[in-house]
Amino acid sequence: MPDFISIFKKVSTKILEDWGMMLVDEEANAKAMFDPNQKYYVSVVAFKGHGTIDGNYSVICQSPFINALASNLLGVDDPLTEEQKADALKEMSNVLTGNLITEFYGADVSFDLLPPESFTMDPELAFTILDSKRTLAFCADDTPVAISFSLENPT
Amino acid sequence: MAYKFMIIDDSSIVRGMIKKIIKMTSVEVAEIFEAANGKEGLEQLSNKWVDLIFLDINMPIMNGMEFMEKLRLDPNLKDLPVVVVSTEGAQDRIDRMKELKVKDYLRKPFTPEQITNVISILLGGTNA
Repeated sequence: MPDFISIFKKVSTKILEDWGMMLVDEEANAKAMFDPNQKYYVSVVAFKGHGTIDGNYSVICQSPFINALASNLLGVDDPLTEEQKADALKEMSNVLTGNLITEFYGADVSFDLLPPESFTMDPELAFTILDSKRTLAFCADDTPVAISFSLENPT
Repeated sequence: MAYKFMIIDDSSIVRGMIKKIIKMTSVEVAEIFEAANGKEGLEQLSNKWVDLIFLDINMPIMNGMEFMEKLRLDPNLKDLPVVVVSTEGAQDRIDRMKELKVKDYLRKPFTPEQITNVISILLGGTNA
């Protein structure tokens, strides 16, 4: 498990830095970083491993993270639409999932990635996920973001 | 000579990023078409010529693999140069794309330099 978590941290940090173009620090207390008065957004990508392993990775965040991410990806001078912001979050979870499964299971295993879904999350459910040992929290460009996973072996 | 590009990706943000990078290169850009999936891409290609296509793999409606298979069967489109830009890292899918004669395979996260380099190699010009 420690190896899994260290790879999970390493890849998550790399994707936030390389794809999101963000300065990233790992944070120990996920729940304390988030603003309870703001909406929680989540983007999930599920994957199926043809009998090896199924699961999903999700990115949990609030508006400041989405705004910073979308601005970094498209440039701060461009006006950003709500659709672009949602799309930036979905693509982050997509890139993250694609890289995590390759890192964990190697290039010889094929996975089907389902299209990313994003939605707002009930605060109580968000707290539960943020408290979970399956969730890592980061401070990215001074905004909180958490990355969580759920895995199941279908055999 | 001014070149025409097509970006096929279900993510508008990725299309926007690649579009921006294309405009940063030294090649003259005539037009950049966008499609959200392979089906839309093929529909547009039925009446538009492009010089280079950037293609995602995991897309709804028609994915990048199906798009390539149909493109290579079309006598008018079979020689169009295609560069895959995808999160997909499975070797069998990369190999299949190579069999379908894609010119390059870039994994997300890509860098602007990777896109400008591939344009420079395939269409000429120098990097911005």
